[in-house]
Amino acid sequence: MSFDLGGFYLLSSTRSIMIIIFAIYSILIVGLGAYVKIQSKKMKSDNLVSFLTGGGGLGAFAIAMIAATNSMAGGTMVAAPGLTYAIGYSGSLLYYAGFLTAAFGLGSIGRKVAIIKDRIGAVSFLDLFRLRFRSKSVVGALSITCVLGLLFTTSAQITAGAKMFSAVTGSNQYYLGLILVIVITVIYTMTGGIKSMAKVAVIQGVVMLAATFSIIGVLIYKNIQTYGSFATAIEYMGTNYPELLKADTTFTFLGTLGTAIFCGIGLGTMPFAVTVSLTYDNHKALVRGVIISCLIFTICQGFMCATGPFAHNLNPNLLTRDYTTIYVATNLLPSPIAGIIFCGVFAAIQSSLAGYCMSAAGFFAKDFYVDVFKPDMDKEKQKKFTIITVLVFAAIATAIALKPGDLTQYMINFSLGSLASAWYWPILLGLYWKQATKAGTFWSCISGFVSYMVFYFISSVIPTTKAWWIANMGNMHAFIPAWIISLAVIYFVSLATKNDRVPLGYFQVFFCDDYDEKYAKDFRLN
Amino acid sequence: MDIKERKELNFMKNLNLESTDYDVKEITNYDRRFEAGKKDAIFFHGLGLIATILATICMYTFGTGDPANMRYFLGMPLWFSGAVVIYLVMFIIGITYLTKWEMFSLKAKELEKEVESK
Repeated sequence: MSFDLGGFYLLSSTRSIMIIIFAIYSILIVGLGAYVKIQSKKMKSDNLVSFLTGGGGLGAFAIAMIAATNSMAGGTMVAAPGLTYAIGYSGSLLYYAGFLTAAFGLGSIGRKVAIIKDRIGAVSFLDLFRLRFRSKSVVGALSITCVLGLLFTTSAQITAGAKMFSAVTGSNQYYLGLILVIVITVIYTMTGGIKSMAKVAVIQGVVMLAATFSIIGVLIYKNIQTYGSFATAIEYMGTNYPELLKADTTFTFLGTLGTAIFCGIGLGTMPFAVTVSLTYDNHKALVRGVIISCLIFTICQGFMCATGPFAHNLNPNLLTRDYTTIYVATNLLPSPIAGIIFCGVFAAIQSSLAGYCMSAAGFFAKDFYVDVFKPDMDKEKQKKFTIITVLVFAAIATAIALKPGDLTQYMINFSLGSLASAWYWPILLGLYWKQATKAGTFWSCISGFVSYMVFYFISSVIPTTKAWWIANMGNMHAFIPAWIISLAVIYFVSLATKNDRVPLGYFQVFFCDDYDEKYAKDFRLN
Repeated sequence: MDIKERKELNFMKNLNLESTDYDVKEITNYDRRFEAGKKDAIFFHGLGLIATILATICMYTFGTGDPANMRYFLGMPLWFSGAVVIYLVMFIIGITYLTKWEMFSLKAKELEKEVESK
């Protein structure tokens, strides 16, 4: 018996093996999360700080895996192969700019964040900005734009996971997949916070690597076997599907440039990337973590983004292009390996979902609601509120995922663009430019986010303006003007409000080697 | 710690820390570790931006015609393999830079002997 998945078939024996392997894997992962939770309680580290930052003492490999899996997941393993199956190698290069993602993030801000964290006892990344600008509006703007952007990123991950399940169950049951994705992820996020995420991420990262090598390996092997050599396989592609080998198949120069910028350097300043900077307190661990993370990211991103056109060469008939990875796993590889690949892909999605939910919960519950409106809330209530936030956030993201698009990667791109537009300059210049002011940072964040939304709708949603945008703006990606506006705003508004500085005591904690402890420990806004 | 540094520290201690009327250019005791972080950020983001622009130019210079007439390099169209090479060079430069990082404490204050050795 076999199941028709639109352009390829899944044997029921393959399905059974994959589901059994996945069930065993899930039990192990959830069990590990629970074990870490119990150990944390025994060591009396089961508090909000530990839940959100892992206590700050993670090793290099754990840092690397969290950083890498947070930035890849459903995009790299499912959606990007789907996109490159549809549009070819021009889609691959959009994401290769992110080969140094961990260096753009941890490498650029990691050392300063770790030192400031030690000075002030920061629980959340935005505690640094609370100290830097002494402003609820800056922290609020960063929190809200983060939660809005992450909602769509999370939703895209859920969509990718649900599509995987709908394929693997053999019956295109997208909604069943949707429920399973969210339930499993919330369970293991809540059982241990980021510490269990770290342990889980290590295992998941290894499985992801194995999955990547298996998929690209079998695709190249099958292409050579089918066409005689690698060169003739590429020649066949160029003759029969020339759009897969052209740079301008879908995007213009400015469209590609904008996407590559926020999928490259922009990724380093994403909320889920900067949060990792709170998880270590050792320089050697940081350096090794960044290097390992860059290596893993380059291997997984580099190979997985190239799989789509190779799969297309073997089977150009997939109706759901996001099934590319599942097609390769179930039709070109032995069933047990397909099961492990499914675990690897779903693992990546789980890791990211957990990371996004944790980031959103931290930013919204702790940084926005508690610190801005309820600074007197006790620790236990804060933790409960954080957990409720995780659940509500996951529920809204699931609701958005109820109507999935054809190519999930476009949804991921939309959300990454919005986050980079709002966060890029406020994070980098807020951390390092001594003349940045709270007004400049606040309006940079807001103007970046709002202008991105406006330009996105003008360039991609409203038919009449879309035609005008293509004809007159070279179909430039909405991110480029939003990014430039955000930079101009933080620069000019900061200069215009340069007399609106924070007290010198706080400035010294953030920039100087000598400072008064009183200001370091009294940075909260009441 | 030399005499000049001690004088600077004493100068800072005599300042009114509640004051918002100060000039950031006149402050001299900036933490060298933060200044190193600033250089890191400029280096990595500059490197990434330059590589992205070069790779995109490579794509649209060599990759817009009929694939049959394109130039090939390493078995793939030049626009693709050329851009991949650019990103890999970016990767190698970035990792090399990282391996040459000066190691210092990530604690709140740098250890006294490390300060003396700077």
